[in-house]
Amino acid sequence: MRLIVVWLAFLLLPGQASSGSIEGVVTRLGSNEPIAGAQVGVAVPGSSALVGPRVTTDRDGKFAIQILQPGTYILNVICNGYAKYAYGERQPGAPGGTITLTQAQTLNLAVRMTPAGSVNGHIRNSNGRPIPGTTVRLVRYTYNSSGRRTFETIASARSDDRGVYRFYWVTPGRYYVVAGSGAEPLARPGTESDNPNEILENYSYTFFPGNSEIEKAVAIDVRAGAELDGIDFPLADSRLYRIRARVVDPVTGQPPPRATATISYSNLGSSTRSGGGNTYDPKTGMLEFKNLTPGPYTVGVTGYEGQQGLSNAALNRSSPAASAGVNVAVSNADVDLGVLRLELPNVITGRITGEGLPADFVSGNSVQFSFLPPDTGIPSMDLRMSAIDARPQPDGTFTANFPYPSLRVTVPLRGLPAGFYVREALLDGADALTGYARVSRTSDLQIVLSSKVAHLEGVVRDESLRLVAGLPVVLVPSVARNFSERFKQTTTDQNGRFSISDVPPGDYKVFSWEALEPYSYFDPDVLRKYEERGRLIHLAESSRETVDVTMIPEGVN
Amino acid sequence: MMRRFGMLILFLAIPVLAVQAPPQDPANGSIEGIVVNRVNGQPVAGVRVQTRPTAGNPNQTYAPIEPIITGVDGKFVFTSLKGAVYRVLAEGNGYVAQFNGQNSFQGEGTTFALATSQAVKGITVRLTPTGTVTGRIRDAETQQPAVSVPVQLMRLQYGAEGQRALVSQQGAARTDDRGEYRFYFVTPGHYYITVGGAFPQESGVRGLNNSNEIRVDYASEFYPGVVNISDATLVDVKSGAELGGIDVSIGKQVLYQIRGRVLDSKTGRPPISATVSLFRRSDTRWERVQVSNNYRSTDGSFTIPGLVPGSYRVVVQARTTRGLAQSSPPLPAMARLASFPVQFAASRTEDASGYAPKVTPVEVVSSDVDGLVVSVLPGVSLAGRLTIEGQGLPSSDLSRIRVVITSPDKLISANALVTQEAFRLGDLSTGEYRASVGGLPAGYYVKSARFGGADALQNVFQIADGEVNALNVVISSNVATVEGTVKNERQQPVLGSLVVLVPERDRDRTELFQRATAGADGRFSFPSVPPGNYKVFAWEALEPYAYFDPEVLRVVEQRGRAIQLAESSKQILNLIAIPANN
Repeated sequence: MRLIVVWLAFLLLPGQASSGSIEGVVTRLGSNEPIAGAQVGVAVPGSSALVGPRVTTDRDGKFAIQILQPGTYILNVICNGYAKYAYGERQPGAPGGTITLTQAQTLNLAVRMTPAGSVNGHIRNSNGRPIPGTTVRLVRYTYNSSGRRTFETIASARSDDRGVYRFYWVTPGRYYVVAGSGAEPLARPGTESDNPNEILENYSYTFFPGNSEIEKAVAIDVRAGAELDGIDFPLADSRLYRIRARVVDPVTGQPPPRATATISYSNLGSSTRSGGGNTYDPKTGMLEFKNLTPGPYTVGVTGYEGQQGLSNAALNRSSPAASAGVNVAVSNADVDLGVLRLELPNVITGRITGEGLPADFVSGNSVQFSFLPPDTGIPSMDLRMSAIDARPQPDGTFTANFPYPSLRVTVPLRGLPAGFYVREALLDGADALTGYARVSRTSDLQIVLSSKVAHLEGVVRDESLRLVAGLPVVLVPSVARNFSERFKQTTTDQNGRFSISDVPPGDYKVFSWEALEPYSYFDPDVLRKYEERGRLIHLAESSRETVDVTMIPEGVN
Repeated sequence: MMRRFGMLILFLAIPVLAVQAPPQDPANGSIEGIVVNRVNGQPVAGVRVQTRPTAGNPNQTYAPIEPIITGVDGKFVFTSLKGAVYRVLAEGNGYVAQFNGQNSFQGEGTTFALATSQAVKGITVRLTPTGTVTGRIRDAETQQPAVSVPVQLMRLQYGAEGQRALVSQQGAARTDDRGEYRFYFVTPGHYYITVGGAFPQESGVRGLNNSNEIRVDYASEFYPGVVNISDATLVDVKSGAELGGIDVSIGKQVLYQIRGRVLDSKTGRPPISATVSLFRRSDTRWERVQVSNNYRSTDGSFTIPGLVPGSYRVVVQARTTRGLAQSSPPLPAMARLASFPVQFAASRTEDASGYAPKVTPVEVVSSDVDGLVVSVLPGVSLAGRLTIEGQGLPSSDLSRIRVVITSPDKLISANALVTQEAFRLGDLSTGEYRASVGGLPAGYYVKSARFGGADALQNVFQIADGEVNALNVVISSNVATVEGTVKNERQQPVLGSLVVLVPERDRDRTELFQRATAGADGRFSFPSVPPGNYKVFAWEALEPYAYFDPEVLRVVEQRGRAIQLAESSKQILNLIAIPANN
């Protein structure tokens, strides 16, 4: 019956006779009972926008998405009480694969949804009193997009007056539970209680079953369809500390008449930045942040000559302003940084060139150059927030103030026209593309783009030479592997095929794993185990290569 | 002896420190007291007690006072205090946060004067235990738990304009996968409970969106499942008790959109740029719910999605130039429907837009609204003069003064800075307005504003095409002053009582009201009162802004003291407070 409907659609819409469709049935994993009311969405890979509205499954769990142009798609299904499903996923929560739809093709899918779990517990203080209003997070270890092992917050909840919290509809997997509200100056309005009768207290982050160090934390396993109760743990009352510094302008040797300061608190894989909660006294230059829980912080200070009362926008324009950044670890005492001498920024001038660049590419203000400062040494501190943007002039020249000692060109990640890559970035003649180069007071940066990109396509087979769908394919550069943006990644479609365009020419190894945590291949220790199993490939300028890749089976290393 | 010693230092210091900071009083006063449970009289431990000066000597600097956490005896002592007027606040989880001497939960409590080096003892703060409300929300259609639905505890409350409005008391709770919600630490009293609708902005809802969850928009209903507040049941939250079973079945909400075009009515072409704002009727005023960021100058089209049924006003401000577009970033779907503070759709100073703002009423009933055409026209302009009577103003003060005209529905407002006693308001739409003045320094009042000879402060005036009339504004420094004391019927001074100057006429103009809180010895003062006829009321305790309510005033009208204030006059009053239980 359904097939007839599709056929009729073809007859009635001859202009779209080449369209394909995806249909299928959604069932509960294990019992195979159909799921009604699940929502099926189709999108183009790399885009979050859906192609058309979500389709809802009927009483028999069936759905049909018709009239799709031939092409590559991703598909996901959500239904309350179940883990979100992605087509081609190896397990719930893992990334899915792609679907290649050819002309007039009708694809039939069997979608099995995994019931989600839930986690319940109590948060108490060291005396056993319930702690209301504290933020509880469900986190998991993951690799961030730059290959660093970090925490990802999957869900957050608040404890109530009984200290009770609940996470529901959790994708099955291994998690940690961490509670605590963090540092007060970083608290945004949304983290204050709306209840005039509720006092929120500061507790530093504490992992279940009651440790401040992640190494001693106990992971919990959330199983499909299961309620996990009793994840109870105490929070230790933590004292609050302050960070102080005396700010000095490098030119006058005096405290700047005005200074703005920010503080970043880094934990759980992300950092929170705030300018709130600091006081600055222009008479003495004394800068103070109060009410800080123990932990790693980064303090950033910018001094201005301007008079009081200028808007921040106006202040930002009156550059170059002197600034300084410093990492501070607060453990069990107030921290006095002593004299904090600001530094004038380095000035970088340069030009971006490239043969055959579209006319509007540079002049259309469509490109931003980010200058990624080097690691600060504090794990998981993300200083990219402090990256500098420069907008090039129509002739490709640009100028930027850069307050850090060295840089690497990570760009243009955004705005690079399709079919181009960064061939070269030279800072005062030194390579600033595959490593960091030192910045002088006035540096010259030349960026050369090229359209001679390479193209790679192929198939992935298992050990029995069968084609495998939904597998990640990773192109790992032979040099400068510590910079994740130099990796290229895709997944095989339902036929086991893949293709990667716009690849900078060079030497690569191609890997495809049956089961590997996303982004963990950025970790040199992980990659080392599989080094021999990668397929070496050389991509010349403007080349098109085809490659057969053998899957690395789960459990092999 | 102590005092004389202090004087001596003062005398010695003056010649040396003539231009330096004045000498500081000794900080050796103290405030001592206890926090007890109002119900059983027992001391309460773990309560955070704070005090701070509410009024002091402007020549003195007051250091911040660290809060105290009470121990098992419930006692607190603040030491090293300077003489000033203080207020004490006690708050602890499980109790209603309360000021010392607060007579009602909405009241402000009392202040008391601490003389230099004085030790005040025996302050007792009585805390009332809070209550709890729990319930379960179901989807009316499926009878399954309704998940991620906002639930709010609401009270009818007076707003700053004197109108009564439903106000969320402690943010929104969110139902979990079982449809359950829980309000804790609730101030005892009667509440409406609203379920569904949009999450209030900046509400207490935290946490990430669950990527495994299908978001459903539910209609907004009152407990026990009714649409109108008149049919709603008030729930009575009792001190120390848990009120369970406040369950509601709720229907899904269908959202609609408005689509239309903006056209220049002269050229028939779309303007180069336009800001399309949407206001929704909420109780007695228009609240901005959305600013459309999808105006296309190629065909003049715009779309405003995600709307619940209701009365709307589409306000379009077109411009003849690009830039200055005030479109705000797109709001998340839920926030789009949330309440915003009233903002003027079109509020400009001198920068010319080339068009008058245009207000178009739209009713969204049970379908999308399509094909709305908003025709925009160049506006008219209005010139005016500002005259100052009495003492002249320094130019720094003068440059802050703005003459404002506002439409009666408050959807359109324009303001102009005054230069050399003249101002000009441009790009105005024709229609009714009322004038006011913003940025007046203390000690000045708006004596009059006249448009074509008619009063433009109290009455609306009409701006028509080809306007020839001017707006003439007079401000004056000849303010009157009122001061005095408040006592109760036993002739004891009533600290912290509320004194309100209520205009004899034009009581709908809330800007003519003035209020003060009686401080030490029941004293109050109004240093800058526009001359005119007033009635003065003093309340021991009153809900904030309730004095704007004619019903509240009618009951106590006879207790008001009528006064006539001439220019530059001074009046001293001894008032008897209206008791809190009146």
